[in-house]
Amino acid sequence: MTLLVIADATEGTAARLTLVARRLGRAVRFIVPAELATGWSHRIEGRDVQTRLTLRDGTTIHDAVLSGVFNRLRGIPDTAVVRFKGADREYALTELHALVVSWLSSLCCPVMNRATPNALAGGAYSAARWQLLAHASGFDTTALRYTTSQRRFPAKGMVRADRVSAAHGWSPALELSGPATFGEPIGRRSASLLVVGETVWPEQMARQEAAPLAEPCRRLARAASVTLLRVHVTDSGAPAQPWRFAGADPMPAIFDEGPLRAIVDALGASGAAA
Amino acid sequence: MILFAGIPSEPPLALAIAAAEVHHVRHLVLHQRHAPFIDMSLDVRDGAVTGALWVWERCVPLTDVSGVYARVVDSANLPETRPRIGGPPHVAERCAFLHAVLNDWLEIAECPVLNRAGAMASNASKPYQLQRIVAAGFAVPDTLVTDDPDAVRHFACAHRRLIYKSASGVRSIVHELGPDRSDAALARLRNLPTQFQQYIDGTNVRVHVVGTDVFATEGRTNAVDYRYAHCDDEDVAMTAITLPAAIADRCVDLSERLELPFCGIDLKRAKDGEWYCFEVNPSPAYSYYQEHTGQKIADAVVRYLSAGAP
Repeated sequence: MTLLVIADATEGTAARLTLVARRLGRAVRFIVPAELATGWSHRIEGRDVQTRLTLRDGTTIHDAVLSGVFNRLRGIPDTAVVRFKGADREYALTELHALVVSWLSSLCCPVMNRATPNALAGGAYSAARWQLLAHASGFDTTALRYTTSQRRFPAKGMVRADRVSAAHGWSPALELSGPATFGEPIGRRSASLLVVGETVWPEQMARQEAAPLAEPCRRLARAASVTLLRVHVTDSGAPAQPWRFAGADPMPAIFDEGPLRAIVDALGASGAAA
Repeated sequence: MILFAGIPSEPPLALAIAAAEVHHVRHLVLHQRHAPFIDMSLDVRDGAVTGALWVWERCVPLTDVSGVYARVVDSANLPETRPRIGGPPHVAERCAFLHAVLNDWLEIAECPVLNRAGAMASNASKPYQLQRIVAAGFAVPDTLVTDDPDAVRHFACAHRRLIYKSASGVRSIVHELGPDRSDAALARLRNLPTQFQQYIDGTNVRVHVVGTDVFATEGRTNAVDYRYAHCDDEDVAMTAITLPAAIADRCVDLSERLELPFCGIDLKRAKDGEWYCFEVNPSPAYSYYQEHTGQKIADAVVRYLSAGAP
């Protein structure tokens, strides 16, 4: 059984995960997104979906040999379809996206994170959607306001949360009256928690402080249909609920050995390195 | 109040607006071409979504909206939202921001939305959507996506006739892979994986689901793709029909599973009586069917979106 890692060649977390898996004696194969442009046989017959992917070196990957997939796909790169130009290139990329979504969705093995039609790496939500999911998961959340006109819809007591567009013609007057995103002021302390499956690792905060946040983090990951998630929090100043949700990242950079080992275990690889 | 968003002269939106007028249902039209003159705010606080729209010098709280029918086109394609010589240079950025906020709201709005973009994305991958269709209990045609000519030849041996079409949401005309397919033509497959499907012989049925209302239209033609029968010099006869109750229920169940309360489901009743499902269109151009059959689909849209109105 093989753990498949799909990521850009320069993607640090994928590279570190591959090293950890190999050090643990696990069979792991690292492929770059451009390798997903050719070599496909993806067959759907009722509930039975079978895929065979033949890589450039002639290696064939069948669904049945995969123990899990570590998915860091941000998209199919233009370099995968250099033979096409203009609108044909756009079409080719759209078609490949459709195929890869279908393949990653069909796999019976764990996929971290599973693709959705909106995002090859899953977990693509707006800041407003993350706020609502976090609130429903038990987090204290900060308020957000989007407005096309600060004159018509002023945001009192909130601070500007975006960067003013540097587009030609943007004037100081427009900066004060035009489109803007506002948020509530955040605290001075920031921290995060890393969710891998059901395990939650506190980052820049004590284990004791993080304990009440563990279950909301797990609920948030489930609500977002992801199994790997970094949750950012900021201090609220309120003694009863000292931490507030400040954002989420479904494709976190990971440096620590512990979470990387947990991912390798979750993706179930065993046997000799490939 | 119902919000209609898009280009109001576009037939599906125009029919729904006309239905709201006929039935005296309060509504507001957000005309995308007037985007430079529309303002919007969106607030998310403590799990609640509020905000307001400023349209036609009126401020409408978003909480007053009972439902939304959105046929929003990419704002970058609208001439009114592009920078113009001598015009204010920030119009394009401002309109893009307005559309981003509108789209954000449509995703999280507490009222019914026909349909939310997140759910509509299932149609961006037809083989992915087929897997969801199978889970709802419909038969689907055997499907192969490949860039391997040999795999197509084997697939063709297993099925008497094959068709091919796009795997993505890009609209394509369904073509039959003719028996005269040459090795040279199949070799072109190596450039890009292509979707092939078993040809199902039978009668096309388009089903529009609006909430729990079901409208079925039978399209009889000799063309492979009844939507483009005129391209093959073929006619298509459209007739409103009543589906067997079990199939109608399955269509409603499928629309709920896909979170598409308004959708156009492409079915085929095969000669052996099996009902096959090919795809679910998340933004159906129902006006074509309504005009041919007299089905009151627009009325159902208005009824669905005004159901929660005070």
